[in-house]
Amino acid sequence: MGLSELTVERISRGLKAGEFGSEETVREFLRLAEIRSAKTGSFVEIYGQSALEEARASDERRRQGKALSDLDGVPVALKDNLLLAGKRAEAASAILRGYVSAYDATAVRRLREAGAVFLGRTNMDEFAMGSSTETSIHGPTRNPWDTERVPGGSSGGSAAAVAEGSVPAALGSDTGGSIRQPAAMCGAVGLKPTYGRVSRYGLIAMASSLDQIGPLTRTVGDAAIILKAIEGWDGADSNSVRLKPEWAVPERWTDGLKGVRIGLPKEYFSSELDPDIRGLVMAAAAKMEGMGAELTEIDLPHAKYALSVYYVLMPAEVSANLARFDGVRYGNRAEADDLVGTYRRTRGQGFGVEVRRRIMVGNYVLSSGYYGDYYRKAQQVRRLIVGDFRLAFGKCDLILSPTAPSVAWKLGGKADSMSMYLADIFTVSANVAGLPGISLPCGLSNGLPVGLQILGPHFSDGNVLAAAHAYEQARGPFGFPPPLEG
Amino acid sequence: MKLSLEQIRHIAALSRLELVPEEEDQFRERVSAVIEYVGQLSECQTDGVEPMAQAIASENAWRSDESVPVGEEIVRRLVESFPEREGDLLKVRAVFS
Repeated sequence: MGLSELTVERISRGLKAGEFGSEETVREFLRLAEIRSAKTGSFVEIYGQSALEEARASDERRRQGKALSDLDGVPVALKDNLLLAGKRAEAASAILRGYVSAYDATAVRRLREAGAVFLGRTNMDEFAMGSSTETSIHGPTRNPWDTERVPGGSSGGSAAAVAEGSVPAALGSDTGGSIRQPAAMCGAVGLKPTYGRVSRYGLIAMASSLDQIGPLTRTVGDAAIILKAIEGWDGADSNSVRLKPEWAVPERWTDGLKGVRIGLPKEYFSSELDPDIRGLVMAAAAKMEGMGAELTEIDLPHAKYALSVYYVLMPAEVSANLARFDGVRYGNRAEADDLVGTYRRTRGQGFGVEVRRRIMVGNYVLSSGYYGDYYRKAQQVRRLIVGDFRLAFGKCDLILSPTAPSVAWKLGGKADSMSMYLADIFTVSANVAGLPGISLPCGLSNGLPVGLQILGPHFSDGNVLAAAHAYEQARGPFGFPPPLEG
Repeated sequence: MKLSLEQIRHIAALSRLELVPEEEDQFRERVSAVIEYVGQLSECQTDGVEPMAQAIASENAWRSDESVPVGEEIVRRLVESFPEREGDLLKVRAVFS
């Protein structure tokens, strides 16, 4: 087995045992990332020199017995909307082309303080608005399982990079499914933590009441390692939460799922669901039942409104958050005759079509005369959706569903259509309700990965991970896509 | 409900977005499609339901009103990211004419 096929956990052990060094490891991932990213567009920038310098510094710390953590020397990648001091962060948008981060995002700083090596930044939909990683100024990312297909999105670059073996772990951001859905489509593990668990400071904001940073990895154990490194209260994000000891990610995994009550929402398994996906998810549920879990059908009566709630609240928050891109203090400016004209030209030319659409939808639903019918209404339905989950979690401990209603589609296959929005139908509820959710592979349909989603109550991230880990052990190794080289 | 061209122009102005004429028609279709879709919410009974802004209860986070010093490197990078400057000053268009 080559170095590049190793997990974070295995690399960490190898570094600790002196089996290999960080420089050797990082060199190999850099080599593969260059080759594979040339085929898939997973990375938009690979940090050759700085990554090697960080790796050598890590090896030096090890030699002196001063390793910073288990992650010291392990390579990671960052989505293009996360700030890494001195490196570009463009959110895949023309308005930020060439922008250099002044400081580290909190999650990034925590990885740096743990000794992780930054391998590069990964592609995404512009400002994380999309489900296919096609709306990037850097061009589309392709799915490593079939390069004619999309990797999902918006963290498609992070998902592809991990799945193709260019890097063992990457950070993404999830506002409506942007970690879990691409993880599902690329055969990776993707975790969206509970809202407030990970600081959003230094994440280029999309929709602040929904955004959350999380890991994409090849195993559940690795997702847990990265979560532990980045989580925790941060004074710079007033919605971050002081974590209670009982919310901790378990130090050791328990075997089996004895007594764990798993709810299957009947609304998510309608007759319209792709039969292959239904079959694989139900087989995973049966496997979990065989491990001691109790399966129970649950109701989420307002689930059918989740996507509409999302497509009112998210654009409203987008329209406010993206108001800061006006060409004044940073980003690119397009001059016009007067100040307002300069704002309008800067934004008209700097934002792509989907971003402008969402800003306009947001301003419409917030505007006088429509606020009550749309924005206020969506906030009311949000409460009903949260209530559905509260009731459901009285009957079950975790909820199981498909991550996405389809496997990866062909590039351009859902251009300019509402059908792209439907790709997030099973994932948005977790953001609307602030719940933790994970996607992990549960099989292949016509050679393309299918993701299984597990949701839990607020701050039950540890239980979500434990159940996912137990299933993963029973499932066995998922493996890599066919080689991209040659 | 399909938005009128006037409505699109109005929202574009509120959004501080310059649209060229072909784009006005394009966005009329694209924005209307979303508004039509989310119109589904009107079917949902919400009488007496309090609006919810955040799914996780949070309280106002207060801090004292004092400046937080940052390193010179951060200041340098922030200044270098100005679209236009004179020395360390950010150059902007006249606000009052």
